Amino acid sequence: MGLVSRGTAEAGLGAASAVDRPGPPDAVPDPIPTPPAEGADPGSSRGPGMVLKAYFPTCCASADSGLLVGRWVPEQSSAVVLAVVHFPFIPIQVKELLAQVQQASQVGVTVLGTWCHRRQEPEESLGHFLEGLGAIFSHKPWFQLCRERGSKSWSCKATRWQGPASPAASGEDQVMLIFYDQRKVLLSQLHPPAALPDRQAGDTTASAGGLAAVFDTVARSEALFQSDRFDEGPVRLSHWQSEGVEASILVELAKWAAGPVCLLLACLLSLVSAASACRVFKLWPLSFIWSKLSTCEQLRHRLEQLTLIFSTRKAKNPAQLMRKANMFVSVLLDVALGLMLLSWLHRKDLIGQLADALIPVADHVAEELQHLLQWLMGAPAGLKMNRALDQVLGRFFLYHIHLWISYIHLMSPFIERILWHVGLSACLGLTVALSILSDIIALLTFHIYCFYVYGARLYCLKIHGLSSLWRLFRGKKWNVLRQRVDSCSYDLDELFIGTLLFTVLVFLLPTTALYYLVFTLLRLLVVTVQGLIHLLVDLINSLPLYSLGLRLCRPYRLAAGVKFRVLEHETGRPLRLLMQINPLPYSRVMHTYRLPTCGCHPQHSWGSLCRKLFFGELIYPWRQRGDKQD
Amino acid sequence: MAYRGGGGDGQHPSASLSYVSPGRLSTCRTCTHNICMVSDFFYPNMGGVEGHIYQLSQCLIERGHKVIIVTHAYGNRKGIRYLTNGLKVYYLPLKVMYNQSTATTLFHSLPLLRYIFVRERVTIIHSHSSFSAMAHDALFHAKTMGLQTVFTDHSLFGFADVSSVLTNKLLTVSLCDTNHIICVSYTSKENTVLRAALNPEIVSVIPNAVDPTDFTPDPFRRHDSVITIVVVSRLVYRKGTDLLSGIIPELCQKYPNLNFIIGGEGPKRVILEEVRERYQLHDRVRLLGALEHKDVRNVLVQGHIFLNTSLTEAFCMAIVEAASCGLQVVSTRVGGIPEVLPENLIILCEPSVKSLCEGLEKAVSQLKSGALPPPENIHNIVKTFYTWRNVAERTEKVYDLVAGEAVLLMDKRLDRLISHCGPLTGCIFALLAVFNFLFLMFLRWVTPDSIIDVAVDATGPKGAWTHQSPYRKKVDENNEVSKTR
Amino acid sequence: MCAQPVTNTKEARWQKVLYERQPFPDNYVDQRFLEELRKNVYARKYQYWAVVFESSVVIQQLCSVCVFVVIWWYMDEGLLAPHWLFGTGLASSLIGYVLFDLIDGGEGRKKSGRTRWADLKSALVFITFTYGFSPVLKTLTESVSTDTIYAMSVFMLLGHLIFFDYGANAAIVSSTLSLNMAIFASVCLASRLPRSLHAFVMVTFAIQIFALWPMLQKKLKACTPHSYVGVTLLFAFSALGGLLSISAVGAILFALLLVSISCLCPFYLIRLQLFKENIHGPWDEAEIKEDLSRFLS
Repeated sequence: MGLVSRGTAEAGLGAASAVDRPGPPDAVPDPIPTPPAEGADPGSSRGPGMVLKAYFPTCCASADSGLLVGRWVPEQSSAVVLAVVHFPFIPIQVKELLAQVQQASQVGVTVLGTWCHRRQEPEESLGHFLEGLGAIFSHKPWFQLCRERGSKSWSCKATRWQGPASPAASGEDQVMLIFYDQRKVLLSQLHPPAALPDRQAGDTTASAGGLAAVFDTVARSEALFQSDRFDEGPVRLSHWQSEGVEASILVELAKWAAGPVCLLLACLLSLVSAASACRVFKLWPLSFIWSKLSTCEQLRHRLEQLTLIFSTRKAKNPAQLMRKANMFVSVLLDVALGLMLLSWLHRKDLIGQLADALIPVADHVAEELQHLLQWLMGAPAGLKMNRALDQVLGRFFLYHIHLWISYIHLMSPFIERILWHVGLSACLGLTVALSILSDIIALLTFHIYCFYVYGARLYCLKIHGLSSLWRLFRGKKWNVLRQRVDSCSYDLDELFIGTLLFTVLVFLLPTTALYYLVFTLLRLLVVTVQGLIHLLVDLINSLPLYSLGLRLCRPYRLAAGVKFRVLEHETGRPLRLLMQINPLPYSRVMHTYRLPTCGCHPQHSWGSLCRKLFFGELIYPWRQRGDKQD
Repeated sequence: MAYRGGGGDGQHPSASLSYVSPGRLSTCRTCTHNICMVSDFFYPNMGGVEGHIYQLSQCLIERGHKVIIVTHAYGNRKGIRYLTNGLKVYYLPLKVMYNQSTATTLFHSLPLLRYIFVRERVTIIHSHSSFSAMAHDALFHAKTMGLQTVFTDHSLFGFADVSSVLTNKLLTVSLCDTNHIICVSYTSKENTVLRAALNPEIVSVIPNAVDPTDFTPDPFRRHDSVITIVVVSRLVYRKGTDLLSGIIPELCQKYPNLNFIIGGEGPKRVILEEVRERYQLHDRVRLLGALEHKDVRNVLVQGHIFLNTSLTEAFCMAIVEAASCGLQVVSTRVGGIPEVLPENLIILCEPSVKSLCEGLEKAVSQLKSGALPPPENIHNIVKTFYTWRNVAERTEKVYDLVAGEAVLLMDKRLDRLISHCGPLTGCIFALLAVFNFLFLMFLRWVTPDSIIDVAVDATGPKGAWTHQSPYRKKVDENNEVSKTR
Repeated sequence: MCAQPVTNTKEARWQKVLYERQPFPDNYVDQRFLEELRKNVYARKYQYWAVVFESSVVIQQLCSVCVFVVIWWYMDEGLLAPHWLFGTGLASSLIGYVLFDLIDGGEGRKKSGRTRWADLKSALVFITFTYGFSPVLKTLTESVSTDTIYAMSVFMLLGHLIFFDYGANAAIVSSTLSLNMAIFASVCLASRLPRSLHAFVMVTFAIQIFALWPMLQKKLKACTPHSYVGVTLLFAFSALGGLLSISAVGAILFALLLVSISCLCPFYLIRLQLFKENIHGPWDEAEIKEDLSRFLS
C-alpha cells in the first residue's frame, strides 16, 4: 500500500516538475545547498521575512490531514518533517508516542504544525480546527501545510506566535518546501566533500553541516518508522514503510545465527593466531624467513582480516560496517577464485606437466646465463675491458651457476610433490596461490639475485672510492661535521697512494660497471614480474567490492551530496523543490573504501630509483622493510 | 614608511598635503609627471634599493605625481598589485637569471614595457640600480620610444679587474643618452662619472634617507653593566666579515665585559662561528641570523656601539639607522661613508683589524668616561639629516629639469652612441638600437598606440579615481587612505 | 631640512658632505671634483733580469716534463735498462736529500718538525706500494688503445704545467691537483712499458722528478740563487740534449720555447707596463692586507 501511495505522490510531483521544466536550468547538481537566506538565530527576535526550509517526505504527500511530526533544526532554520499523524487522535497519546521516540532515538521529535489535505470541498471548519491545534502543541514557528485538490497547488504558512494568548500578533515567514524521498535519505550515507579550496571552506562546512543534520535526523529517527501502517495503535501515522517482509525473515534468521557462528569462528581464528604466534616461530632464522616470504605476509594479512570480520564486537559506525562487508566480500571472492584455479589445475593434471617443464626451464635459464657470462668475458660489444678482472669475475659467476645447476638437479625428484602441495594452498584463496608463485619465482632466480648483489656491492664500492679519491685528486676532502667539501693539504705519500688507487679504479671501472649493468637488468626483469604479481594480489586485497556493488545497484546508498530540482516557482506560493541524492562517484568510492593492503607498494619515486641504481645501492622496489630473500 | 608622518588618520587629504609642504603645492605644481620606476629589485625582496624605490614613490605620490613601479615576477607574485596609496606595481613574467636580476636580450622585454608605458601615459622612466638588467633594458627602450630617462646608481665599482671593465663598458652604453643620473653620494658620483664617461653636470647627488620614526633610541633596552657592540650586515666578503672575525677575539680578550650581537646571514657566517668556537665565546657573541627590516631597530637599541666593517659602500644606510637609534658608530673609511655623518657622531678607521680595534677602544673609553652624548640627543641631531620628503623634493627638481629637455632623434642618438662608446661597441649598439626601433615599428603596426586603452589613474590623493565626482572622490580616497594604513 | 640654512653673506665653501644642505644645486661640480683620483698606485716597476730569474721556475718545470718524457721514450724503446735508471734515481735522491738539509743547515727541518723516521717511512711507502702495484699497472690499460693513453698523458701533463705553483697568487693554482695530474700521467705512460719492473721504475722516477725535485729547487732558489741559476741552465741543457737525441726538430722548437719564455716574455711584460693606466679612488673596494687566518688556527 505504501508503495502505491508513494507512486501517486511521485507522479503528482513529476507532473509538477514537467510543467516547470521550460524554466531556467532547473536541476542544480550542487553538493552544497545554498539557500537564499540563512538565518543564524532562530530566536523570536528574528523578524518576518526570513526563509524557512521545510523538508517534507514525498510519501506523505497523499496522506490524510493531520499533524506534522518532525524535528526543528534551529541552526539551519529548517524543519524536517518525518511523519504525519492522522485524525483522529488524542493529543496526550501523541505526546506520549513522541516522548518514546525521543527517548529511543535521541532526536528532538516534536509536533511541527498541521497538515491539511483537501480531497473534497474546502472544509472551513477543519481549517479553524487546525489553527486551534496550534494552541495545544506549542511550537514556533508553527507550520501550516496545505495541499489543495488536484495535487497541484500547495500552500504553506509558518507562523511565529508571540505568545499563545495573542495569535493576532504573529509574524509570518517565507517557507521553502523541499521534498525528499524518506527511504533513500534514511538508507543513504552522506559523504561530505573531502577537500575544498581554502576560501570556500568556511562557507561550505556550514551548509554541508546543515545537510548532514537533515540526513542524521532522518537516519536516527528510524524508531518512528517501526510502527506498521496496519498497527491498531492509538495513533495512526503516515510515513515510509518497508515492504519485502518475506526477505526480512531470512535476514532475521541470519542475524540470529550470526552471533554464535561468529563466536565459534573467532575462537578458531584466535587459536590459529595463537599457534602462529608460538615462540618457536619467533626464533631467529625462522622469523627472518617469515618476514621475507610474501606468502607469509599474505596469510598474516588474511588472518587479520578474518579476525576483524568475525569479531563479536559490533561495528561502531557505518564506515566500519562497510569495511567489514568489503573485507568479507573480498575474502569470499578470493576463495572462490582460488577454488576455481584448483579445480582447473587438477582436472587436467596440469601440476605434473608443470613440474616436468620446470626443471628444463631452470636448466635453460642457467645455460643462457652461462652464455651471457662467456660473452661478457670476451670483448662484449667491442668494449675495452680489463682482461684480468674480467676473467676473475666471469669465473666467479660461472662457478655460481655451476653450483646452482647441481642444486636444481638435487631438487628435481621432489619438485612434483612440492608443487602438488603448493597447489592445494589455492583453496585458501587466489592471492595466497599468487604469493606462493611469486615466492617460487624468487627462489628459482636466486642466482640472479646473488649476481646482482655481488655486482652492486662491487660497483658501489668503486663509485664511493672513486668519488672520495676524486676529491683527493683535486686536493679537497669531505668534512663530515659541516656536511660540505673543504680544501685540505695532504701529505706527499697520501697523495701518491691516493692517485695510484684512483688511476687503478678509473681503469677498472668500466668492467665492473658492465657486469653491474647486465645483472641489474636481469634483476629488474625478475622484479618486474614479481611486481606484477604483487599488483594483482594487491588489487584483489584492496578492491572494495561491496561498496562498488552498492554503488552500482543502489546508487543512493552512498551520497556525495544532493541536488535540488525546482518543482514549482510562482509568486505567492511557496517555492517547492525536490531534493535528489547525488551518488558518490566511483573514484571517490575507491578512494574512501579502499582496504589497507600488506604494504607492498613501490617505495621509490622514479628519480630516487635511478639515483640508487646509479650509485649501486641495492634496490627492493616491492618491499617496505628489510632485504629480500637471502 | 614616510607617509606615516604626514596627515593623521581621518584628516582631510588636502590638509595632510598642506602639512607636508606648505605653500609649495600651488606654486610648484605647474607640471606633474607620470613616472615609471623600473628595477629588478622590489618587494618582496628586501634591501636598500627596494626600500628606496618604495619610499621615493610614496613621497612622489604625496606630491601629486603619478608613479608606477615595474619589476619582475617573484614566485607566485605576478601581474598587477596595488600597494599603499594606490601605488601600482607591475610584476612582469620575465625569467630571473642570477641574483634576482633578469636575463636580458635587449628585445624580449620591449613589447611588455612598451604596452605599460603607453597604457600608463608614462613621461619619465626612472631606472634603479646598475645590477638590474631590466633597468638598463627600460632605459634602452625608453630612448627608442622617445621618453625622458633618469637613472639612479646605488653602488660603487672598481676599475681593476676584467668583470668591472666589461660592466663599465655596458654602463657607458646604457647611460650614454640618459637624460640625468642620480647618485647617492659624491663618491658615487665621481665613480659613476668615471665609469660611464659622463658629463658631471648631468649627475646629481641625492642621498638616500632613513625614516627616523622607525629608528628611535630606547636606552632602557640595553644593559649598562656590559658594553654591547652591534653589527648588522649581510655576512659577505664585501661587508668585511673577515675583518670582524679578527676584531672579535682581539677585543674580547682585552675587555672581559664586552659583548657582540651580530645580525645578518651570509656565506661568511661560518668563519664567525669558527672564531666563536675557537675562542669559546658562545656566551659573548650572539649570531642572530637573518633579520627582517622591522626587527633591526630592536636589535640596534640593545647595543652601545655600532660597528660597520664594509670594504666598499656608496651610502651606508646602516650607520644612519644606528646613529638614529643613538649608538656611537665606528666604521671603515671607505666609499661614501665619510660624507654621511658628521665627525662628532662617527669614528672612522682604516679597513684593518688594528685600526678598527683602536677605533672601538676609543669608543669604549669615551663610553666609560661618559663623554658620549645621550642617545636622545644623537637621535634629535640625526633625524634632521635625511628624510624621504627631502629626497622626493630634490628628485622632483631633476624631473622638472629633464622634462624640459628635448629627446634626441634617432640619427642623433646613433651618432652619439658611436662617438661616445668607442667605435666597436658603439657600432654594435647602434645596430641594436636600429633593430630595436624596427621592432618597435612592428609592434606599433600590430597594436597601434591608439587602441591600447589608458589605465585608470589610482595613485595618490591628487589623481585618485578621476572618474568620480569631486565630492565622492574625496570621501572615497579618505577611506582608502585610512584603510591602507 | 632643519640644518641651518648656510648664510650666504660669506662666500660659502662647498663641502663634500651629505648631511648638510648646501647652497649649491644637486648637480654642482666643484673644483675639488675627482681630486682624490689616483693612477697606477699599485703599479710595480720590473727589472728585466729579475723577471728573467723568476721565469726560471717555468723553465725548470718545462724541462722536468721534457726529461720525463725523454726517459720514458728511452725505456719504451728498450735503450735504457730499468736497473740503471733505478740506481741513478736512488743515488741522486740520496744526494738531493743530503743537500736539502745542508743548504739551510737544518733550519727548514726544525721548523716543520719532520723527523728522519717519517722520511724513511714515506720512502718505504712509495717503494712498497709502487712495487706492489706495478703488475696491476702493467695490465691495467692493456685493452685501452695507445692513442687514448697518449692523449690522456698529454692532457694530464699540460694540466700539471697549468696548475703548478709557480709562486703566483691566483685562484687557479693548486699544487695538489698539479702533482696528482703528473702522477696520473706517469701511471698511464708506465702501463705502456714492456715489463712490470719498467713500470715500477718509471713511477718511482716520476715521484722523484715531479714531487721531490721541485722541493729541492724551491730551497735552492731561496738560499743560493746563483747555484740555482746554474742548476737551471744545466737542467735545461740536459733536457735539450736528451730531446736532441730523439728528434732534432723537437729540440729546436723546445729551445725556442725556452728562449721566448725566459727572454722575450719578460721584455714584453716590461714594455706593456708603460701602457698601464689604472684608476684608483675612494670608491675602490678596500683590500684586507693582514693575514686573518691566524685568528682561526
